[in-house]
Amino acid sequence: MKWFRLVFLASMTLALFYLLNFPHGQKLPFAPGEFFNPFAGFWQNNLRSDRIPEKLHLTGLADSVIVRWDDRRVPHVFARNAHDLYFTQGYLTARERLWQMDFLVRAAAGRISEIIGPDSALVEYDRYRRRIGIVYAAENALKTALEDDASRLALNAYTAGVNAWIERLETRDIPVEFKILHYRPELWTPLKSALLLKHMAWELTGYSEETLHTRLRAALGDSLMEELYFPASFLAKPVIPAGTPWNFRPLPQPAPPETLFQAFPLRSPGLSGLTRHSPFSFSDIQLAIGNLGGPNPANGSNNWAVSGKKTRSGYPILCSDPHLGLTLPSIWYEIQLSSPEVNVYGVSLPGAPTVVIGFNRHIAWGMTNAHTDVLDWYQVEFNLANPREYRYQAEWRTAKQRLEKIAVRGGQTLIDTLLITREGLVVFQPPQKTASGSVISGMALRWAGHDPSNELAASLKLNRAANYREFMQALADHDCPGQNYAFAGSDGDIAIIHRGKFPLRWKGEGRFVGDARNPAYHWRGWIPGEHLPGIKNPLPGFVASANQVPVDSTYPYFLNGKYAPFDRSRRIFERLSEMENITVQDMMALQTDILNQRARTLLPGMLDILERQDISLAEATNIEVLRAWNLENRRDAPAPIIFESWWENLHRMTWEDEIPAENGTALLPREEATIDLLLRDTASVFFDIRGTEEPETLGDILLLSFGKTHEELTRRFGAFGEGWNWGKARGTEIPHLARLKGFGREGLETDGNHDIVNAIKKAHGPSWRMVVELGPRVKAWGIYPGGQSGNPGSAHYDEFVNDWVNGKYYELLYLQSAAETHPRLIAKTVLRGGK
Amino acid sequence: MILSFLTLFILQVLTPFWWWILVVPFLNGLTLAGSSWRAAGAGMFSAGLLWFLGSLHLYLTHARWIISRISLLAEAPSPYLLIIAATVIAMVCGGFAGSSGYALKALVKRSD
Repeated sequence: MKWFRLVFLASMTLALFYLLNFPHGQKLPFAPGEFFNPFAGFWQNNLRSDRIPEKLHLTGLADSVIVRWDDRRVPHVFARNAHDLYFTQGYLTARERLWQMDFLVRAAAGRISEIIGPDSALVEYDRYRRRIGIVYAAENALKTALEDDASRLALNAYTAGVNAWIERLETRDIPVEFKILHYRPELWTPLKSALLLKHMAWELTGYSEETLHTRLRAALGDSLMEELYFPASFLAKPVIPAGTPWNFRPLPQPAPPETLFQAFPLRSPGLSGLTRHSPFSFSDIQLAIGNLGGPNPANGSNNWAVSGKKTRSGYPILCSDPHLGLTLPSIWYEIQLSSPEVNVYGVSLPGAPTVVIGFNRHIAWGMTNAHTDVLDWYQVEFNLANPREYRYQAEWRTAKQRLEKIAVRGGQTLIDTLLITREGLVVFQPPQKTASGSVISGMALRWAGHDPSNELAASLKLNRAANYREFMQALADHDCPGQNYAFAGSDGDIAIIHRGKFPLRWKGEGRFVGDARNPAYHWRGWIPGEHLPGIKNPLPGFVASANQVPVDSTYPYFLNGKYAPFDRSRRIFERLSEMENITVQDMMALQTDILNQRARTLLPGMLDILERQDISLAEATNIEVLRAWNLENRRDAPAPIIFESWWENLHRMTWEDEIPAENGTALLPREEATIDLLLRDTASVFFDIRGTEEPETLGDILLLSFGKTHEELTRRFGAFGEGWNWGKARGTEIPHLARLKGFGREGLETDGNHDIVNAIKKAHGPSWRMVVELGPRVKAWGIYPGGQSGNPGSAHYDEFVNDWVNGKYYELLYLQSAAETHPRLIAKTVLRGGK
Repeated sequence: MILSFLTLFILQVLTPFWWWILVVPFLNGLTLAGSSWRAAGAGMFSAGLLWFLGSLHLYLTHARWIISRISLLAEAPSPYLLIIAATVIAMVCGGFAGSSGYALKALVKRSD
């Protein structure tokens, strides 16, 4: 009996140990005993993390460093040399954002299966990340960066700083996400910083519609493609004002192929090596890219600089608000970095040294995404007898191979073979299965981000630049992602430049899938840096960009890109043109401007035509609401919901009968095409709905789309009333980076919309708003939707969110020395080398 | 029982290991407990009380936010359920481990 009793109780105890000491699948990824332990589990990720130490001894520091902390938990770092400066940046960033850094880099490198487990979708995601060559690109970039003394020093010092934090991290202080997912932080390496920068480059340049364009071209022909998918909107105002002279002698334009390539059916080798035809579906590729986390096409931004001639203070003002996917922890970490050779303030990317967008005593800068295409897809013909061989002109060439090991938690490590051809990395390769389950054929990716480059060098120099000349010298190192850099200097200069490494192209190149066999499709060089579009101190007294087309048709090089519609840029140009005696408050008001430029341009005409139609009483109420609207996308207004839904329905109903869909995917024409019809071709045949007996007109389409909008809104929100509220209906959220429920912010009621200057969308928008006035003492204001701490248990995790929603700004404390006093400085940490 | 509680408290504060709530009650049952029920009771009480007080203290002082977020993640209707969960885990572990310790002691005694 006693034996039985002992065996039973001991078995129960051991069973408890097993149950509580190990995770149990994806539904219970954490070890419950460890997780619920009040002395080391999630309970310890609490407000204690907000305490700021007075002294720290860190092995690796060469000298003492002083960090002053302000009331928003922004560290102001004062170091005596560059090594200690970036060491401290790494240490402090890791202290606040370690899990975010670790997770982002794993996601960038295709290492998510390593921490989550054998989920086929995640393994596919990891494989995709390897195939698009993010690791390959980061390795190339790192090699270049390590050859540069300043970059090597910054990377190594930053790495050492991050690792100084990781090594002293006690179990209870490990960020809670590590505890939930039951894994531990790895030591940082310079490659991880490079991976992070390449991840950002991909997010800003990785969007492509070439595969869908290719399919559409076969159905629509060249002329319609040009009109519908590559329209030159007459409303758009280019970044570099039309008529700006180009003071250089351009290189000769490359010769296009004799006939434009139309994708061919591939005979692809199957698993067994037998020949068979593979169904070739471009929309599969698009779908796969979408499912596997393709970049958001809305990644954009606004920036502008106004000359002192237009400001009340007489000093130049620079404004910047990059629009990115919103997450918690925030994509940005605010910091001031000061040493004898630099004193810069702004936002940094957790995981990489330097300030990315910011200002120093002499200059301020901000970026918007260039949206100029630096990514091409090629169809590759593989040798059926040898899948490693691909055709180039008349010969077979052998692709290089690169093995990618994909570790899977609790599963077998997978080895994927990445083929590298002359034209790029083979992302889709027979008989590769995509996320959509279809088999597709060989497609190679050529991306400027794969080439060796050192954007960190540009950032280091930018942080130290003292004038326009040094600003331009710094940008010479910036290759990818292409950006519109706006500049303002305390000496009065303002400028903007469309900067990046852009391939020399013949007109139309890059719009469709290219032929890997034909050298006419291969990149053959770059637009020289000194030929890139830019302008300094233009007569109107301002420069601005909002992801719109960079140049007018006189620019001698062909820039391919899906640029933003006219709305934001036109509004910004209009306001800056008419404003005089500009104040900082005016600039804040413009950054948060919510005038719906599209409604202003189109709505009166749309309503005039609609009112001539036979409308119901309920629909008439909606018309009254739109007529009474002040054209602002205000969160408490009903009109924006009606207009935005109506516009979407109108655009879709105009085109959906003309545009062929494949596997349910149809790429509708650019919105500019619809705008053009409404303003210049109201009798267009495109308004006719194919398949109906009577020909439809614009009036019919307006009526049908308006009726559909009314029906949809009534179904969603009930009869017209309080439920029709733009803020509630759209609902903005800032999800947690790993989409952990309860760790993000939901149900935020916000103003604005995409294509409005205040470009807040569902989970995307101004990720940092900054206004800098470059007087004798620089003054600056800023805010981002998050908080300095990455700990969800901290008071500083999301403390700026409500103020960001309400369009408020914080004055940024830009200290000149470590000894400076200010009532908003709340703490000081002295860091010294040693144990 | 108090000795067990204090030992457990010190070990939990000084080390990150959760499984002291198995080891200490087991050792208590093996060495000090006078009966199986006492061993189980001491284990339940010392481990359960320690985790209850630990988690409650953190909820009332520093950890309200993280507990609220974890309860949202776990879809728990109240943050207090997490405190109850921690207490129950500790009580069950302490109880079974204490009894096991005493059962081994009883077997060894009989062999003597």
